[in-house]
Amino acid sequence: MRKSEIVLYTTTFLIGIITLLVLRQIIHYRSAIKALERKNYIEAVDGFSDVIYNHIPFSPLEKKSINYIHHVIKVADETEDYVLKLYAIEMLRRSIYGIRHLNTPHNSTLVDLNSQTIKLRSQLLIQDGYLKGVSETEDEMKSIVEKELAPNPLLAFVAILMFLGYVAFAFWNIFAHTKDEFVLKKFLAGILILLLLAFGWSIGFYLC
Amino acid sequence: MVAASFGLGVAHPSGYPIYLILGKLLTFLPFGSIPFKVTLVSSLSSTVLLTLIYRFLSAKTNEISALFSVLMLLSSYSFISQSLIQKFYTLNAVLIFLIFYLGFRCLEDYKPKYLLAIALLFGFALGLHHTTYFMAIPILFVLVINLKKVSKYIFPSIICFMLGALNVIYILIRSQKPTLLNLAFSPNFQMLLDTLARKAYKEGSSIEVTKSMFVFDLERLYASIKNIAIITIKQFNYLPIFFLLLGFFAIYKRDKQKLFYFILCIIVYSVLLSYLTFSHSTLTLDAAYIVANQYFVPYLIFFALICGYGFWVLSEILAKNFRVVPKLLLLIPLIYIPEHWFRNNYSSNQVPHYKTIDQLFVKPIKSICINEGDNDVFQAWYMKNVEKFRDDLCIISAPTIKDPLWSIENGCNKAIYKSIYPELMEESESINLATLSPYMKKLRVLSTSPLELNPVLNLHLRSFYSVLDLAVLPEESSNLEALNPTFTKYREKFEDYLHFKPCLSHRTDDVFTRALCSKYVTYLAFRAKDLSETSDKSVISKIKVFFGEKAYDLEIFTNDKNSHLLKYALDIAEYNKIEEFFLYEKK
Repeated sequence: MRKSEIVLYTTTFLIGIITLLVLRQIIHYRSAIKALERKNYIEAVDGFSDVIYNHIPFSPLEKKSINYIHHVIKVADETEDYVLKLYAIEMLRRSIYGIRHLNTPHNSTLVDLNSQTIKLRSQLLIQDGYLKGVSETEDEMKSIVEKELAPNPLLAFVAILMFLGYVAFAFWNIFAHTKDEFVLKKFLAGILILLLLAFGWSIGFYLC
Repeated sequence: MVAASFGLGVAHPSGYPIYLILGKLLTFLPFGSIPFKVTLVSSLSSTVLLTLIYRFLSAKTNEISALFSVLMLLSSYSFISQSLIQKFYTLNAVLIFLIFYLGFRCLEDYKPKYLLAIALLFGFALGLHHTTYFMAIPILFVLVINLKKVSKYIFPSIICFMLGALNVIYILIRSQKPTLLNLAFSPNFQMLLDTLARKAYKEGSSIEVTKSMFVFDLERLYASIKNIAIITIKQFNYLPIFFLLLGFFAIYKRDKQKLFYFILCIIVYSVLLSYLTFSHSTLTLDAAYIVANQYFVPYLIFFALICGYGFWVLSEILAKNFRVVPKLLLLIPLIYIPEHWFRNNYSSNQVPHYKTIDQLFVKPIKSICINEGDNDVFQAWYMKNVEKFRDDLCIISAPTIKDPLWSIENGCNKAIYKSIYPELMEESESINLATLSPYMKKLRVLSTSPLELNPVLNLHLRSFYSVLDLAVLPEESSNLEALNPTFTKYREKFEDYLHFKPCLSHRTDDVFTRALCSKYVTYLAFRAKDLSETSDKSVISKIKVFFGEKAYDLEIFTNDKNSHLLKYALDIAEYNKIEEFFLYEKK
């Protein structure tokens, strides 16, 4: 397969995926706006969080969706509907965590959202008869919300690249040094490089 | 698989490091959600596989036959299905095809590099599904044919195998630290070997399955051949069988050794695999979807390849006078693609997504959830660990319950929850039932199935239907009926938040979705029952409700207030009935 063919297929594939995501965003956004007009806040939150979930960089609909969900949170606050408030916060929060890649899109929203989550969960827990005080309960909730077990994205990326390099080099070593006859010395030298690469990705996976 | 990929954790045995690494790599794409990106591993693997098949057959036959073969595979129900979900079977199929291709090249023109590359690929397969090792049988035939040339490359081949197998070190490394998900905790070499041998599956472990290969049972063989025949017809219909026979004839005419090689490939991935995993005397829906729909993708590949040869013979015969006929024949596989595609279009299926959200959302803050079965456990782990939805909950996987201790690792990781749920964090990484009593009294222990059904736990616990799940209560709770108004209130409170409507419009052919929708049927029936007691004049309706695997009949007085809920419940049950499933076989 020629390089130009690979570039063509990859570009087509990427354009296809992005078109699909754009279409999904538009459909969910429209249905969410309609639901908001009907004051069906649950359906609106579902629709807006689906817009964010089908993330495309620089999409204007995502920013608008976040604002609309904040509007629902405000409405829930005003009407003291804490179940709706919890639903809106949790849905927005999960849709942002669900689109993480090398960095986290809408990270600034997330910081504010996490503090709201801590407060609301603590409030509901105390209302339910929890015996600890407000600050102690909030500390508990904070330790859950802020702790992260996901690997460091940058280190994980480097480790994965080393792993793929290892796989590619293993094949190259076989096909380059055994064209017709087996060149043992070169093959063994290649194995040494492979072991170094293996050490590299092992360390990378351990550290990330 | 998605949670383990994103968190660079470890999937269920045999750990699947290669899949997880590729999955994680794709999560770095700056668009789409994490599950969407991990699904691309399967879709890209299928694309690569179809390209490889096309190129292979174009070189061996002609382009139109290669296209026929590719379209046939693309039209098969299971291939489409596996290309669109977060599973490793299509990636595995790529590996199997590459081994097949290198073996084929050895038969054509043996070179040591092919042998070494096969050894390397077998090494990589250690970190994938072990059905790849069925290719050892056809490859053994290739080695016997080239015995003299092969003998001096045995040692380099072993080295290449070990270099490939080194990928499983990933499991050992990632088990050294807390990760988002680790389903095969293997911090030392012995545990790693157990994971690779899939010992956790007991009689389903790789060793036991291999052993059962040597136990001959005529009845089992008959059942496995019958089941394979049923599945083949379901996948491709009857006509391709003609092309298959013609294909064998075409290969025979070219080279008898290659015919034998092809026969071995197709037999190991059909009859032999079926003998080991799919020899059920009656074909249940679970067997059809969990075994047949997944394991037999390599069989479909070899079937389509041989049919490609058959098509080639036919196209050569028709080339002189009826050139247009082969082109028209290409339309045959195209007929099946739309139906198979729509039945597997999971992007239209919101049920698993919303059912998990609903199930977690309705729980009181800081509750303990005892989830039973893959449907409830895996999705909840993903939603909680990766998307942090209701991450205040502690999710325990019920199959690991060992009275009085319950295992908790993945849904309530010590690294985060040690100080939050100290009652659950004893030294043995398990919990004591007695310590949960305060949670139970606050109705904050919930289970997906009634714990009374467990012969040990029924001595200690009672359960009561809440919203989607059951509240678990201590044995000493005497007046359960007094709790009725509390649970009625709960069910009312969350009525608007539950997404049962996708169960009527998901359009997909998914046994897991069916199981999830049964939970909504149960909820709707209970909610209807709550509303039934307010009426005097009413008709009795009987409806099946589900708790885990168990189904019960519930009698409800129908009235104006609850009839719409009952209608939804009955419609959902009807929409998801087993007769609607493509692979369902009438008894």
